[in-house]
Amino acid sequence: MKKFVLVLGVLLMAAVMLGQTSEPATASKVIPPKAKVFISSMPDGFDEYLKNAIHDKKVPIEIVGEKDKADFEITGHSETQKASTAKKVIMWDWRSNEQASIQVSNLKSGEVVFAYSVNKPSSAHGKKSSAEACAKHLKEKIESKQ
Amino acid sequence: MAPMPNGFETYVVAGLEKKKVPVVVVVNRDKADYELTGVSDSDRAGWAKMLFMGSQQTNETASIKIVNLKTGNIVFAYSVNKTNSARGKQSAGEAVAKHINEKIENRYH
Repeated sequence: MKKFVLVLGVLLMAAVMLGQTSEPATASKVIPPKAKVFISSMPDGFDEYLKNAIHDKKVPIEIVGEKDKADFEITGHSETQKASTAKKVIMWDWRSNEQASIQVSNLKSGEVVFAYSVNKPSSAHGKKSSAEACAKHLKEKIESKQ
Repeated sequence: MAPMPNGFETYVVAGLEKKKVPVVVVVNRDKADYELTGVSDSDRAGWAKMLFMGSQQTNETASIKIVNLKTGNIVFAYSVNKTNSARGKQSAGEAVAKHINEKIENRYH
């Protein structure tokens, strides 16, 4: 009986240790709700559009103004291609083409935990549309808890 | 992932995420085993292309290389040219990611 209890104890400890060793690999990719996130400046002020979109889409993160206070950092790039005269005359299209890409990195581990790029030809609301697409997918990532 | 012109590195990272490439991207070079560097260029559609081809899509070119930081050897290089790219830089970034994935999978098979 004592042997059985001993073996059971060893097995339980091994299971707990295995659980502990495998957890960080998956946990490191998770962005927990209410995480403190710093949004670094991006070309064409896309960071401001992203902040507004995060607010509008109710993304469950806390945006902080100082990088030192943050757990995660969002960096990215954005590009707007305004409708040229040719596009307006030939295609009857006044809307801009938008593309943007963001990545979220864990400031402690240095790992990129999420990345997303968007391309919106003839964007209905310019940068606002691409920023909201980024915010929407970031929200999905946080809510998926993966 | 070293910075590239026009922020192309972020599109490559997004491509790696979308294509589920089994790598861990880090922002600190000190923590990395490999470094990805490259260049990219976009060519906007001119009026002639819009008039005669009815296309406003861009032409995208990009080239990347991956260097083993310990040995200094180039372990992988790839270039992509997408005429009339459906999704601009996003398409080029995903093409790069797809081929990195193929390279990694070939190593194990």
